[in-house]
Amino acid sequence: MSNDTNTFPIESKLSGFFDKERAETHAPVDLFDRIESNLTEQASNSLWSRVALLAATRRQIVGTGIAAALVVAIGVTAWQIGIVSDNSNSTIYAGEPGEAGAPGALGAPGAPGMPGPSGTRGGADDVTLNPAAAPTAMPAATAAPNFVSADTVVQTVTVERVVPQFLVQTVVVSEQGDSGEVVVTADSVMTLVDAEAIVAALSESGYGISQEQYDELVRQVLAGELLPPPEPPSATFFQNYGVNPFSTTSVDPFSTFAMDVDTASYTLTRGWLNSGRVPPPDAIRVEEFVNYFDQDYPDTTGTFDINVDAAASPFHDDGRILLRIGVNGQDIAVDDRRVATLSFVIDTSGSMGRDNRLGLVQRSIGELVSNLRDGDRIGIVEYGTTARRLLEPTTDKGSVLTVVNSLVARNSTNAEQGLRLGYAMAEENFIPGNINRVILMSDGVANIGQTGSDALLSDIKETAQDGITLSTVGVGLDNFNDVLLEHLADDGDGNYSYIDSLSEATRIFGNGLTGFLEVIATEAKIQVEFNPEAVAMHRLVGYENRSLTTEEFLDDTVDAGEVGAGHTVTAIYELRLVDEPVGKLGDVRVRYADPDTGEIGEVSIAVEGKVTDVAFSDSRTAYQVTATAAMFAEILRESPHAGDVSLAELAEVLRGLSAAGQLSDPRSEELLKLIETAQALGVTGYIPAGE
Amino acid sequence: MNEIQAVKLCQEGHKGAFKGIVEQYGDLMYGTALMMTRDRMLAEDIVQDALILAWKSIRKFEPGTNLKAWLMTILVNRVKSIMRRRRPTEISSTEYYEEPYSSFNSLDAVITAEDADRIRSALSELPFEPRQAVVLRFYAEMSVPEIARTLGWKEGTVKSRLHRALRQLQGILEPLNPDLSPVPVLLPKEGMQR
Repeated sequence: MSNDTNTFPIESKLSGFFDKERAETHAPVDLFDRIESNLTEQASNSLWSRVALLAATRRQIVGTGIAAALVVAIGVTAWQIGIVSDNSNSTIYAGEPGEAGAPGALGAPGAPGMPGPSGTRGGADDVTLNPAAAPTAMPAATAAPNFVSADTVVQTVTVERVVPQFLVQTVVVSEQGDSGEVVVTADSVMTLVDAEAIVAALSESGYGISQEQYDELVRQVLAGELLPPPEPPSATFFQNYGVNPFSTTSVDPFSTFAMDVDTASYTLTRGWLNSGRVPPPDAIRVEEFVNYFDQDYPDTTGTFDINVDAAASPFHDDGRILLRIGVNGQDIAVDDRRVATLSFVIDTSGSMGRDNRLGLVQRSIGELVSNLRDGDRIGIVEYGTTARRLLEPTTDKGSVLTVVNSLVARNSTNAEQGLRLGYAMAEENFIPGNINRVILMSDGVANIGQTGSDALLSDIKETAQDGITLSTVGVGLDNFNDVLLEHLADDGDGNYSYIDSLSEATRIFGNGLTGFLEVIATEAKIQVEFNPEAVAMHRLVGYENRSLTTEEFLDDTVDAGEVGAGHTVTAIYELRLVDEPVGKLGDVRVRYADPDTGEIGEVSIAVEGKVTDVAFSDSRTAYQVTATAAMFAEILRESPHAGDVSLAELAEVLRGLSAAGQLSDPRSEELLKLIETAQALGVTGYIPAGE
Repeated sequence: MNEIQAVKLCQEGHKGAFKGIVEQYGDLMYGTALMMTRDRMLAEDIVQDALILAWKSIRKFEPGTNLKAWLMTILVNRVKSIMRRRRPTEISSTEYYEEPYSSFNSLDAVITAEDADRIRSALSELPFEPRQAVVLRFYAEMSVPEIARTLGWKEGTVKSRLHRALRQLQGILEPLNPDLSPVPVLLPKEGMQR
């Protein structure tokens, strides 16, 4: 034991206690007998051979190419392979015994075959049994009488890939017909999707399920009762903006960035995790995690107020401080919001028919309609292969709902035409002094990037100057163009949201509608100047694609962020203090333009050194949740600065708050669930090279 | 028969040799699982599963390297995958202790029955991860590098979690037992003070 822990008087007590326990604790006397009987049983009736057996009865012919269609998921030494080798003495087995059940995975039994002289073993991932070399008869009187007749010939066995607990293999089985010819019966043992569903379900349940449970699982998969996991989101566009480094305060005391109130990255991540997939690190923007959560800032006295709190990070061992800087914008009562003309541009391309995406859009707009104030008008443009103006802006909620609910997903997608029509509608119906907004709702606008995007983007920028702003709302995970949707909203001086559920639609278009529509400040930015006497190093966690130079803070021509009524912008900094901090930690300044007059406003606050006096566990709930959310994002984006932070530690903080009855916000409970999901999906965060 | 020979025989499929390994490490593995889960039934299942897995994977093990650490890694992974699916609150801290510590060897007067009860209840207050580290360190008597390998943590993490766990245990036990206080040094020098 290292010296630093040898300072506890209880250590010798503990040793004594455990010595005693060790002396008196014994495994069951029949432990080895149990193991042996278990192994014998498994060898004769392996769980994994049952998969093949049950699945084989399905005899489903899928697809066109046999090789492509016939995929079987079986254990490392599933029985038919064993039979082949028993009869031919040829070694066709692939994969490491125990690979599937290797310590650290889910601990599945994996390789049921007993290691022993009869075990056949190869090391390659791809093994093809040449039909000419070994078309081996499988005797009927074996472990699987229901599966094959004596005439059945295993023609090819190809190991497709090794996934945890499974080999996914292609098996082509031929049968000898009455007349002697070989008929390929296409004995599809299991499709890849089914195999993955079983893998997923097994992952859920872990090793140790009973034979009955397992059979039931297979039955459900085969009967289609157990939904296979969704296809992996493909062709989704994200961009990596890097991870902010630590800056040395004495060299560069400044940190400057544009405000961002978007939350899309968080909801997008939620969508991925809830569908059982780990989001790509590029999809993670820490600031959009942080800003998703309710903060506890007091009501504002002016356009903006600045709040700070800090504590030593419980997640790091180096004493670093997590500083929360919160800027909350003035809220506006619903009745005080300006009247709005909203031109919806709705994607009705074919992909919108999937996963009920269009349905989500329809219900989202339904939610919005029920929260409109008198005088608000809504117009509808749809775009599929071509774009059409379906409804001119009207205050008649009934006709809005009728038109929206009649939308049907069609074939191609022409987002640019749709957007141009939406802007034309907004321009024709422009009312000075009101909110004039185009709202694009789509699952992907990939085609804009190919044709004339520059012209479109510059038009959007220009029109924003004239008072027509653009909000983008994303749905669906496939083909999702995160980069462009965010970029469009940025250029259009609007906001970008991602709707993964009806509750998210309610959040944005229900309570959040005023903030969504009413902008209280434009070109808003934050600058923190740290005091080198107190702060040795500082690092802004997130806001990488919002970063500004020190000089740009005072340059009012620079495009910065738009903030809606009642929105809060929160940033987490990681700080390392000097050994003996003197004076304040620094100053926080906020600079913005009034959306109507263009007048520049600035507020600032000093961050006193004493803010770090509070222990993390004693700090405010919202602070703890926000810091946890930021670290969660750091792990998901594999930030090297969070290399030592574990999901378990994050979950622990939230569980602690929950146990203390401090998690009243359902979003925090949900965060805990997502962290647990990420744990179950094996998210580890950054792993340094060589480990 | 030494351990290396036993492992080699196992790798050739001799179950009898595996029996020796089970006899040698079974108690320690079972006890470790029990200390971590505090559930006798669960610990029995876990040790059984872990040893089955060990038998199946025995050919991946290189004879002459650290068999105990290898077995413990398999065991701890089983524990983790079981515990991951359980809320900590589902486990009662008294579940496994069917009877209180009755008698102690008079030679070992350091730990009284009262002490043992206190330590047990203090341990049950530790979160799962630090508890793992404490059990591996003090019950399984593993070194920090071994624990790091077994738990898949960095050595620094093992040290700091052990340290934190001990500090916490100290904090829980201190008011109950004047022998355990005062604390000479609570914290090694870290970059920050609160």
